Amino acid sequence: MTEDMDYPHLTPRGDRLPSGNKLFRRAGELSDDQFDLLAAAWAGDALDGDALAELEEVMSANPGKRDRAESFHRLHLTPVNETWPSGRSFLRPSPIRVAFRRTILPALMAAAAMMALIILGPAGARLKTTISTKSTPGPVAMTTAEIPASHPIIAEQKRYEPRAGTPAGSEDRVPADFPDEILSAAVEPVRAMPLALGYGQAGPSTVATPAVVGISTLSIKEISPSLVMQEEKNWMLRSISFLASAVTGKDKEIDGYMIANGCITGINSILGWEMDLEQVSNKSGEPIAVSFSSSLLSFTKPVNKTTP
Amino acid sequence: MTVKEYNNAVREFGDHVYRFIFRSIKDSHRADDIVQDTYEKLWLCVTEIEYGPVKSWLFSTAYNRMIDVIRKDSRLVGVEYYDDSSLYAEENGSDLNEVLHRALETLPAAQRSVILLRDYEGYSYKEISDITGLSEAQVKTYIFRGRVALRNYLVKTSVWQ
Repeated sequence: MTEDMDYPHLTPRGDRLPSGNKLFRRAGELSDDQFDLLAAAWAGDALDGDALAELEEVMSANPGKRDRAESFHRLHLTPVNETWPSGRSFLRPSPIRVAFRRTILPALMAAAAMMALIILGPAGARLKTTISTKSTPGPVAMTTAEIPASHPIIAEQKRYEPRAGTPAGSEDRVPADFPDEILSAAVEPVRAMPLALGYGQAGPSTVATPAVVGISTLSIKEISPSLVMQEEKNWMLRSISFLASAVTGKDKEIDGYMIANGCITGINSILGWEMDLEQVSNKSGEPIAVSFSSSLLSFTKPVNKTTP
Repeated sequence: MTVKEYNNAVREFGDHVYRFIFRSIKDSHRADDIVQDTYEKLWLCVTEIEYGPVKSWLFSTAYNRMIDVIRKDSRLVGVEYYDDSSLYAEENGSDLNEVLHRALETLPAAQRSVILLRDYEGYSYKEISDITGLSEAQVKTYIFRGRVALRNYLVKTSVWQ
């Protein structure tokens, strides 16, 4: 009694909804929209239990409803071939490739640029000058070394002198069929001498008489160092021209300026520098000078026309 | 995730994400921007994300970015209204897939996105829920309502009787 007074609460009476029985629905009474929504869920495998059983009941009772429900299976979108336009640009290079691109490639290009500048620049001109002054069309002389008479070699030769008359049976025996002219020539001093190859104007000299069999004068006047250098340069440029034409498919002769300019452009694009190499031509279009400019260094160098 | 795995993610899923966004907003430039932003974000935290769930991560990030873009655009230009009569112009002799894609454009963005994830990528309702941040029940409701709308479009345009 005391508890009821402290905590009073209401108890529901047995009131009933008068029209409750009229509100019940069967599955077959679903509207088309409601059925479609259930059918879409059924086609999407999202129905189970009682809901699935009820829908199956409706569909079995009405074949038209089944067709309508099955039409949702055909409402499936298939992807069209659409590709991401920027896809390739988002591929990241491997660290090795990055290192190659950032260090080794610029280093190689810088080396190539240096080579081209050396060939075209002051060093190349000096090299050319040096070669041209020392290389003359005349024959290459062989300079004999001066050997004093008291030198052991001379002494030994002197010891050999009477050998012509040495009777058979001695250690330095000469065959009987040995030609007389050689034997007579052998009287002259024949000896091995240290030689120095020079580029002087003197005529060729011999260390032994030409009459001696197997020993002849060595004439190398045809060999011209300047021509060799020229040939080497042409060979390099021809190779580069060949490679360039193989890559681009165009026959274009490459010269030193083009190589240097290409290297500088490459270095600028990679490192963001602002170096500039310009060829200055005269009125007839012949290059007369090369002008290089950067933030640190600027110079203009006349073109050495003999350089390929 | 390694650089190689990141590149694999670009090759494998780039087109899929782009296709999803492009079909959702029907603007190739914006779709491209959104996918680029998504991959930029992935690259920034490439070491923190595992390769396994990266596809879901990409779709989720791209979806959220797309929602941001749509909200920003609707603030700038106002809500876009459709003329119903032009939406249901009669379709003549078109491929069903093409008609369905046109019908897809008539759906609200949320329904469109979940249907695309379901049909294009074959994601489950749970996975779509994870990607979009909607509840699973919401995802189902959007998909089923979207399907009914697609069907109604086909009927109204005389593609289906």
